[in-house]
Amino acid sequence: MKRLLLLGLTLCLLSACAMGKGELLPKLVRGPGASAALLRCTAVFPQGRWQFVHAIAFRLADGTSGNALGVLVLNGREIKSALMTVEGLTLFEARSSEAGELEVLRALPPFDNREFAGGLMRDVRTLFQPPPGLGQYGTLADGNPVCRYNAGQELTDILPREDGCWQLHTYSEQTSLRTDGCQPADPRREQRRTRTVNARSCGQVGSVILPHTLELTGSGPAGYTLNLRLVSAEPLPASP
Amino acid sequence: MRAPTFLGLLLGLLLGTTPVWGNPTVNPSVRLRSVQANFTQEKHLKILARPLVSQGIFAFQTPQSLRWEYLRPLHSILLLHEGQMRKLIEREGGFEQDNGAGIDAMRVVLQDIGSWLDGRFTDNPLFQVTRAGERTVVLTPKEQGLQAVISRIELQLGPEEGVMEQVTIFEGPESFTQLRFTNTVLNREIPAETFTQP
Repeated sequence: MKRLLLLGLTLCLLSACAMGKGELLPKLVRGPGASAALLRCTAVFPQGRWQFVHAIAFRLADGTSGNALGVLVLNGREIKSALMTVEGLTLFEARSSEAGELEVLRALPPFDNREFAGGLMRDVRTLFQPPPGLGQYGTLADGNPVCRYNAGQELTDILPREDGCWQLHTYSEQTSLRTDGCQPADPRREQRRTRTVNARSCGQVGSVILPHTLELTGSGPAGYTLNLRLVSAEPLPASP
Repeated sequence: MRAPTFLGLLLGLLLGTTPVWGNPTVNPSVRLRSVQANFTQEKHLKILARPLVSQGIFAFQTPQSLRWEYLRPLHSILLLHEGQMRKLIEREGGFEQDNGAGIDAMRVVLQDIGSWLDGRFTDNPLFQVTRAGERTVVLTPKEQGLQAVISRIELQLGPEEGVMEQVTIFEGPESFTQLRFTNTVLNREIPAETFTQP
C-alpha cells in the first residue's frame, strides 16, 4: 500500500505541482500557409474512437520509479481513462465529457481526490488531444516549424516532424523569483515551460500514424517523467 | 487488518486448490506440492469498449516458490524463491526490475500461503465463504474496507480433484476480472531456476 501511496503522490505531482523554472517561451516568427500547417499539427493526435492500453513507467527527480497500466478510450473530446496495476487491479477509473465534466467511477486511496483526477485528465488531454485555443503557425529561431495554441492560461507549441512524430511543449505564466527564492520588488510575469512531450517510434496503425512511445516530462524542482509505451491500439466503430 | 491486494487474493484462491475448501468429497490427506497452469485473464471495466485480455503462465511449489508470468500483451514476471522476491517488466528487449505494488501483494501471499496449502482457506477471517452450486464457491468480504476494493469472488472448481477452472473477481457492478486456467499440472517437480530466472 505504501508503494501505491507513492504512485499516487507521484501522479499528483505530475499534473498539479510541477511548476518551476522551465525554459522561457521562444519567439515565433509567423509563416505562410498557416491553415494547412495547423491541420498537419492537429493530425498528429488520434481522430475518432480508439481504445489504447499503455505500459506507464514513471520516474521522479529523486530517482523514485514505478510502473502501471493505463487504459484510455477516446471518442472525440470525450475521454474515459483507467489506471491499473500490472496485475489488473483498478486503482482509478473516470470519464470526462466533451464539455470537460469529470465523473470519477472508482478511485482507491490515494487516488481518491479531485486534484489527482483533474490532473490526470489534463495530462491525458495534452498527450492525446489537439490543444485548445487559437492557433498560429510559424518557425522558431532554429528554423523548426511550430504550431502555437493560446488558451489564455496555457500556451502549447507543437513541433511536427517529417517522420510523423512530434514534440510538444506547454507554457504557463509564472512570476520571476530572485535566486534566493524571494519575489523581486517588481516581479516579472513570464511564460515558462511546464511540460514537454516527446512522441517517438511512430508507425502506421490502420490508417493513422501513432507513436509507440510518449514521454511526458514536467519541468521544475518537482520534475517527473512519464513514459507511456503503447501496448495495444484498437480503433472502435463510430458511436451509434 | 492486513489488506490483501489483488494478486495476493488471486494467488491465494489459486493455490487454494486443496481439498478442504474446494470439494468436501476429496481426500484431505492429499497435499498439494506444486501447481503449474496457463491462464487467460479478461479485464472488464465500465469504460472499456472491449475487455483487456492477458495471457500467462504460473508455477508454484512448496514451501514458497512462485512464478507468475504475463506473456502478453505486457510481459512481466513475478518471482519468489527462498524469501527473495522480485518483479520484472520487459522493456526494450530486456527486463527491468519493478518496485511497484505487486511486491507488497506478494508479502500478503507469503503470510497466508501456508494456511492455504494446508487446506485451511476458510481460516481467513476476511471472507464469508458460501456454496452457490456444486462446483461454485462465493467469497464475500466481511469488512467494509475490503468491500470497497472487491465486492465478491466467484470460484469455479473443475470436475477433476484439486483443479480450479475459473476465478472471477468483482470490483464493482460492471467491473470484474476473470481468470480461466488450462493445462493444470499438479505435483510435478519444478526446477528451482523456474523461480529465479526470467
